[in-house]
Amino acid sequence: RAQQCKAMCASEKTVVIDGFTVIQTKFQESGKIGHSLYVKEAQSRGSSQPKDRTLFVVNVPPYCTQASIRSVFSTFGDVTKVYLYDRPHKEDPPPTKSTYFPDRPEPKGFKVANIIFKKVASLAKATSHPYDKVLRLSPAENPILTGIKKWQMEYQQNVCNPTALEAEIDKYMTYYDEEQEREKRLALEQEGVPDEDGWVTVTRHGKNKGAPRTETMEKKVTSKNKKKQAEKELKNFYAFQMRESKRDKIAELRKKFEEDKQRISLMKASRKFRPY
Amino acid sequence: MKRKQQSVALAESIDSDQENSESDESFCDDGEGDTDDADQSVARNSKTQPEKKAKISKKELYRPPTNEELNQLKETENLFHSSLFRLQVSELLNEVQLKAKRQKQTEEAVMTVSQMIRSLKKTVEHELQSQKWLKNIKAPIHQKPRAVKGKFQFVPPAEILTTGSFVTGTCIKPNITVDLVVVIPQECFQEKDFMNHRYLRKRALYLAVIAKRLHEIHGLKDLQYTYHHGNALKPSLIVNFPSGEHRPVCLNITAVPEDGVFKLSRFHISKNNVRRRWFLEEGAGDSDTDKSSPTPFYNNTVLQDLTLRENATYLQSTLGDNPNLRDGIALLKVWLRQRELTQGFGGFSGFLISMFVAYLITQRKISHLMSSYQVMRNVILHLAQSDWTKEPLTLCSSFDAFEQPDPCLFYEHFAVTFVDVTGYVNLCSDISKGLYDRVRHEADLALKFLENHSMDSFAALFMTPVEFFRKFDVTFQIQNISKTEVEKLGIENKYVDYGGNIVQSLGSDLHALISRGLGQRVCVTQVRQSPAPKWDITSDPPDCESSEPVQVGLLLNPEFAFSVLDKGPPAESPEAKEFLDFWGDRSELRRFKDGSVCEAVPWTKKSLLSEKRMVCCRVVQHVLERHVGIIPESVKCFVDQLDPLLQCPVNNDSDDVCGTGEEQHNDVIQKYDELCKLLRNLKDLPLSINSIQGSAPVFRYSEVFPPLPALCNKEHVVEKGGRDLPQNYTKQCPQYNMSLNVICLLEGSGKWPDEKKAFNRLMAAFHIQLAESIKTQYGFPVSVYPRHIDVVKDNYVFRVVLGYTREIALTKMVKTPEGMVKYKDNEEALTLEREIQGLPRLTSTLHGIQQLHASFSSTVRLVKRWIAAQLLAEFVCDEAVEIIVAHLYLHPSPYTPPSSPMVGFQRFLYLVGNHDWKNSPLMVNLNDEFTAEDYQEILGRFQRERSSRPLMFLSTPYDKHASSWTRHAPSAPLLQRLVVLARGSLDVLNRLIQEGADNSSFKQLFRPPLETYDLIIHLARKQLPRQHEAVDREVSQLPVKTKGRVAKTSDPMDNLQYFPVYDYDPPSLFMNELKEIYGDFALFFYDKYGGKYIAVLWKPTAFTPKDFKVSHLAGRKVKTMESGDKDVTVVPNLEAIVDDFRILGRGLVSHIHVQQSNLKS
Repeated sequence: RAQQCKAMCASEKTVVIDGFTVIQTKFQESGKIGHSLYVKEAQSRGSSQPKDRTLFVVNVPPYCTQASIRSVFSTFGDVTKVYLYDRPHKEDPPPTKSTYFPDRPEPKGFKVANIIFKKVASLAKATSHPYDKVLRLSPAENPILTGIKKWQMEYQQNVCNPTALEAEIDKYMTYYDEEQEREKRLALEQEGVPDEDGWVTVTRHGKNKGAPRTETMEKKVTSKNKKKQAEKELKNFYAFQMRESKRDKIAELRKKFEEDKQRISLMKASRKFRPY
Repeated sequence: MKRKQQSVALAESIDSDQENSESDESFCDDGEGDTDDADQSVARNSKTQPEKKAKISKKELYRPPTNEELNQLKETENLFHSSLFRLQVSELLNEVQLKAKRQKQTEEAVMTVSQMIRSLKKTVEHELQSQKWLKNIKAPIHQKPRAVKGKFQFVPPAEILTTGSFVTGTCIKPNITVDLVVVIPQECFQEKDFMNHRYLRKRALYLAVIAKRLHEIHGLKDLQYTYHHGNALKPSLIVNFPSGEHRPVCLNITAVPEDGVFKLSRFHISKNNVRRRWFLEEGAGDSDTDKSSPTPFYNNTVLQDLTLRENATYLQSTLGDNPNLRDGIALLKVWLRQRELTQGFGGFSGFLISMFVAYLITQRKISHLMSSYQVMRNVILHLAQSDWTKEPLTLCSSFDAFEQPDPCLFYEHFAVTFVDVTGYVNLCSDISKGLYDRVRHEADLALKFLENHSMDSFAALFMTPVEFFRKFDVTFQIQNISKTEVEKLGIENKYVDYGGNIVQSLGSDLHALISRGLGQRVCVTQVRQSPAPKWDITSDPPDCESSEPVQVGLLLNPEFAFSVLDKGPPAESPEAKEFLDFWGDRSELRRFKDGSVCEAVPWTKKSLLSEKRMVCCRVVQHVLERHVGIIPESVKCFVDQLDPLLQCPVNNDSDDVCGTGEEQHNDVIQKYDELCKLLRNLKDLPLSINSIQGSAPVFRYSEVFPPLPALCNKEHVVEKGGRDLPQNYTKQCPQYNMSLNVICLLEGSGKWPDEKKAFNRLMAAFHIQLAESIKTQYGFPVSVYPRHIDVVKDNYVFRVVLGYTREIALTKMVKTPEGMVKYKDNEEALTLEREIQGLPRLTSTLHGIQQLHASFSSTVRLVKRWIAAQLLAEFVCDEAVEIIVAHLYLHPSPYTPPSSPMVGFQRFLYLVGNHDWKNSPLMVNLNDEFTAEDYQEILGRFQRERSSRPLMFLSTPYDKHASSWTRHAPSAPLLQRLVVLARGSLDVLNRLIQEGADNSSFKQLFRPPLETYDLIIHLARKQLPRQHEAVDREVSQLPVKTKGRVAKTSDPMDNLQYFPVYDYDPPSLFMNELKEIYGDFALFFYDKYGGKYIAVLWKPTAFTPKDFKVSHLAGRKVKTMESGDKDVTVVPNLEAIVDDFRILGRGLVSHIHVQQSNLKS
């Protein structure tokens, strides 16, 4: 590692640390040099992200969008797809289908990206990008919107088309209803049918529904039992019970006294008894 | 302002303290099995140090009780409030009473000083007038007029007595002084020494001689004069006697004449002993009238000296050596001291309370068998129940009508009467009606605290100082009182009687005038007690002509205090003349609704609450000007000094002045009520709406700047039902309008899906349906979102959210592998619960508090404004602040609920600055739902689980053990900073009030110190839609379009048919981004009410170099290697991050100022 770093100091062409190529960036042509991207070849993650064409990028600045990343990395060759995550994932999270009900929030802050090139050669080009050559993140022809402009745009776009929304809901609900119906049918079919060991599963759709298996239900049952037992018991009937209840009372007082003493010592520790 | 800050990030004292407490707990667990040790700890009585032991073992709990222990337990139950109270009392007494060692030191000091005084030699005789022989030592008394007959000679004292609290053992720390009384022998006196201050001057000279000799012969350095009980006629000498390496012992030396020098009847209350002609140096006067006006105060002053020994003996013999009585008196003294009632002239001194205890013993109201708690409680009970201004108390057992004055006769001269053993002296001669009222009021309160078993009455009674400015709702100062006021009132006789002290002679008359003027508006009017002055023996006594400003406090009666009209008697009736006489030309004839025509005094034309709060001040100013001739400028009231912070100047171009926002709240709530009605009347909803509740702060009267109706902008063409956009505003960003959340809970139904995803979609479908109905039925502009709909009604934007309580359960639902359904708390569910259940409930509760206490709204908003101005609003959530303020109103002990925002604000600062956040939860009994057991349970659980609980722990009946509003914030350093800032601000505020500072200087409380921050991001003015809300706003910077913003939208043309730009506030959008992205590197501070900059503080923890790993790379760069480093490490790329701030805030950020030159890189 130390050697690799020395390489950086000597400002050789490409700087590689721990397998990552460092690419310096700046926001605009006129701006200062900002964050550096750390890129390397990604490990294989299935067919959507083939091993030798996928570039793994760390420390993508917060203002970068999918489109801007695509245009920046087009300098190395044609880009087929850009994935942005908030942190590296073992597996690909399933894509969000719905526009109105996202399964997870948009990644914010510093991101990681997986970029799939069309050609294998582009990957090599990216990983051997010279350190001195600074990348521009905000393309001139289609600059990234930030600040007031961005917020104004967001305000403008933050509307919801009720018909589109309704259509999406309807689509989902029909799917959901079908799904439910299917489950129910399946359950009804299995009703009363014993499995291999001869056990019959009680479902909520059958004739004998049984109590729902929830925590509250369980508590209810146990508390009922306890109550019944308590009713059976006689109180202060035998002499030993009287004795015991007296003893309990003293114990209670003692306990309280102890607790109070504890509190006093706590208060004393925080100097609470000096009225001046 | 005082800038007492610690670096935010570094002050982690609370954190470290917490660690300590954790280690304590582990210690307790270890000791559990050790029963032998535990046995001993129980056998000890309450006064010994309690062991740190959380649980006692079972065996020991059920151990057979000893007789002694049973007695102890029973006694606690019978004689004390509770065992905790008993323990607390004994700890307190331990703290305030003298230790045996110190007692011995003190006794030795008394012996030595007495010996010194005894050994003084007789001097030659001098004329009483000439005091040149005293050289640089001055006589501690005003000598005006100088001319007085008689001769003075110092003769060693006949006797030296030790009296007072030290002897009876009732003295309390701090400032223990021992009263030494030197008895001036007969030889020093001549005939007629009772006349014209001659005795008093001799007494003063006698003390001066002692002072001189002690200084010259015995070399005592620390000698001072003071007034005994603040009485300017009776000086005393304070000797701070050095006692080895310990603190000096403080002795208070006074003098009395030997027995038999004067006859007591000479000083009968209605006799004259100071000739007016002599005192005022008038020429020839009618000697008859001269003699006729009595000098009760002078007489009483001398009589106190004459009867001192008798009273002291009586007190000692009655109290005896009973430790319980002694402790009881000590407790009472602590109680009075905490209320600042004991000090200075006219204070309710320890001597007085001891005499009252003695009185109750003679009346058999207190017995020697009572515990200290019972003694205290009984005394307070009798204080509350008796009225010394109507029925005189007397200790004198034999009454001789020819010699002694009738006890009722005292009322001719004094407001409060408590006659001593001899029957000649009124022990309360200097106590004013106001102070006595206050004592009774406090006694009343104390009884209430003691009766309430659920609260910590101990702290309220003995531990919390009840500071004057925090006690009274309204305080004012009367400045520049001079002799002209005495003349205007025609009370020269009193002036003579009080030896020329203007304030003291005016006292009772001013009180009477103010009380009459205010009538039912106030419960207690009290002048602040100031401690008796002390001065060096080589200087003259402080001037009594140029007085300090008099501080007066008013405790308002909220029922009447804010009425804008004082109704008088019917016109032409005989009382009307008197009424007119009192009020002068302020009074006018008015016809009332019942048809009567009466005299009446109107105080204000506007019905704004902020104006009504000023009425009391106007009354006082008017009365004092009319009857005493004090100009209104000299009467400075402290009521409205903080009002400008709540006033929004936007509406100023119309004639009506905006108040402090209560009226605007009402307007919004009225519109909201209309909306509720409309929502209930909606047809074609598949499920009906069960309840509609607002959850925005404005619905609980706590929005700092309540929204004004949105402006109808006629320049932009926006189609009906469309939205105005920020892009349309090029010169200046659009006005800030906020949406107001309204939660509608739907009725229950079994048909909701059990799956979260499907549920969400169905809910969205309901929203669409609701929007459709509103649009078709009422025609309001509506826009739909999956989780809410926005509606424009009467130029306000309401955000209607449909909720269904089962959704909370649905979010919590988890299925175990066995198929059991469990409900587990998670962040999402808790947020949802807060939003659709917690907030609406809190809103309705706080709305209720506002209905009971009109000042709640202003207080809570002032507090929120202050927190935001101190840049802490991001870290202390608004609801938490509201709950803390609610605490001030629901648990006002040791005060009464605040009736003005000024006092409410002060109490908030005190509470936050002094509450023991580490060890005790702040329990707020909203809706009165806590039971006594709840308090115990919360406290117990809190102590057991302290380490896992939020630092600022607020417990309400809705979230007993969770403190849902402070779960994540504030963190330790920020809470610490809040505490420090609160204390600092309170100090500054008190100083401002005490100094009578002018109104503009009160704003400094709201200007935050900026030195501690690393970066300041300055924002462009034109992008700040809320800048008119800033603490220091420049008029030129106000939004351009203030015209057309009308409070009432009666003109249909002004009624909005489209959405104005709302919830668009660039700084807060910027803040959100910053916090989200750079939260790991820095803290961001912003005043959301029009702040012009964002302050940034780097987190020190973020700067420790980290290994080169994918998860560490975000925002960091590779650290330049130094030789010796082995691994490649990364550190934050500061320059790039600062540059990011500029990029992300493009158009909003004007420039970034780096404050610290040594940027950690």
